Amino acid sequence: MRAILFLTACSTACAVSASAMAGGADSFTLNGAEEPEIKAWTEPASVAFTSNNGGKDSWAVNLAGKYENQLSDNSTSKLVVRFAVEKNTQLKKEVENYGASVGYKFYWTDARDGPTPDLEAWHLANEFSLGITDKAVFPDAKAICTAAPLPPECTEQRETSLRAQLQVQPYRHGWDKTFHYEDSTHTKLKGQRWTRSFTPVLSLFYDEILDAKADAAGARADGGVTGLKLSLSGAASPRVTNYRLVLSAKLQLTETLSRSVGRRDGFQSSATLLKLGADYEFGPRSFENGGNKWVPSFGIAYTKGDDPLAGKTDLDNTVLAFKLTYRN
Amino acid sequence: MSSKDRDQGPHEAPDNIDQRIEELIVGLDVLTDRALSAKRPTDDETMQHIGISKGDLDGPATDWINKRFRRPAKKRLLVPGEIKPSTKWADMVKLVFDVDTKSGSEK
Repeated sequence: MRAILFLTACSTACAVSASAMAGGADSFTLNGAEEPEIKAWTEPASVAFTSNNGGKDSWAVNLAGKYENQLSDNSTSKLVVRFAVEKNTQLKKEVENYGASVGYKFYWTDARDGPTPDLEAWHLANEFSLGITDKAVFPDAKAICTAAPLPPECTEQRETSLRAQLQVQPYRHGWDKTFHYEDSTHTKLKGQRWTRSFTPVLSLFYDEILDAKADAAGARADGGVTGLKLSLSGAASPRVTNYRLVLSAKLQLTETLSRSVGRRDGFQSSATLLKLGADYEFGPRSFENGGNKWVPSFGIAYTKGDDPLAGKTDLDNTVLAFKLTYRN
Repeated sequence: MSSKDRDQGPHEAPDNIDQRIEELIVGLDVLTDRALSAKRPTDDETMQHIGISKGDLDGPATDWINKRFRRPAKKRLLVPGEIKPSTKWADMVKLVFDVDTKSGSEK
């Protein structure tokens, strides 16, 4: 192996922060997950490239870009345009996914009017989107590939889907707790024993296949899958480390409500994905989340399970990495 | 800069601003552990320094500011994510009331 060239990561409003140019009505963000709102536990974008002498180079890319535009002055609703790129040749099962979508984001709350914010209210960030996803289907390692011409499962194929999705991300006061500074020089930290962030995301999705891979007999699956996806994500940081150690967890449950006959083999009816992470941040902290700074951190992340909607199955990996995250 | 951003609606009358800022401080006080009314924020303090979490900024704070200050004044509503943990107090006041208290340009 010659070198791992780099592993960089961006989260929150990374790269071009258009909000600064357009008075806050527009914004561009880049991170590693397509979720309605960015949180302390949101996976940062990452790019890693390994060049091997005399061997196959490898990539691990995870980018999810989002442009938002406030639709009118007297509404908080937004037009949302997203793109996602995920390519990983370092996993047991290679992944190469691309996606793009257009969505409408709207907010709902039952907060009452008053002289202070309503601490008992629910706040929902909702996003309806319509998009196209394209994924690579790599040759089946178990297939017998001696015949000529090669059977379809011995070649790399592509699969394209049209996807409609409604995501709901609720929030209540107290689900996020942060630290603050005690003195006017902003150096003495103050806060509870644990600072934390927790948010569930519930998604209702419909995925209609437009161009499927061919199976051994040359037949192509068609039809749709309807289902629900629930993500429970959280991060916490203890005061004893000056809120620099960030522990994060994500449990994602996917359950299909209906699958066409042709999709039953390729889309699991029920799937679970678990992600656990621990990062130590050297500069500004995740919960600080601001200041237009690069934040170096070192951490470990463990992923196990399946995410059929993202075309990832049988994941079981641990990544130990130095990260450079841009915080806006 | 778009026309949307230039047209921020009528500005607060100077006499009223101090009172409105006081209302803002009293309102945000419930979202922090700091007793904001007693220990008032300085211009360069950020929302993080004050101790308001990102979730509270995006949810309860933005919604309340829109209902209490922006909508009645017929100004552009703030969207979740616009007030960041890194937003300084002077910029927060500017966002809410379109008044630059630091330079005093609108006072």
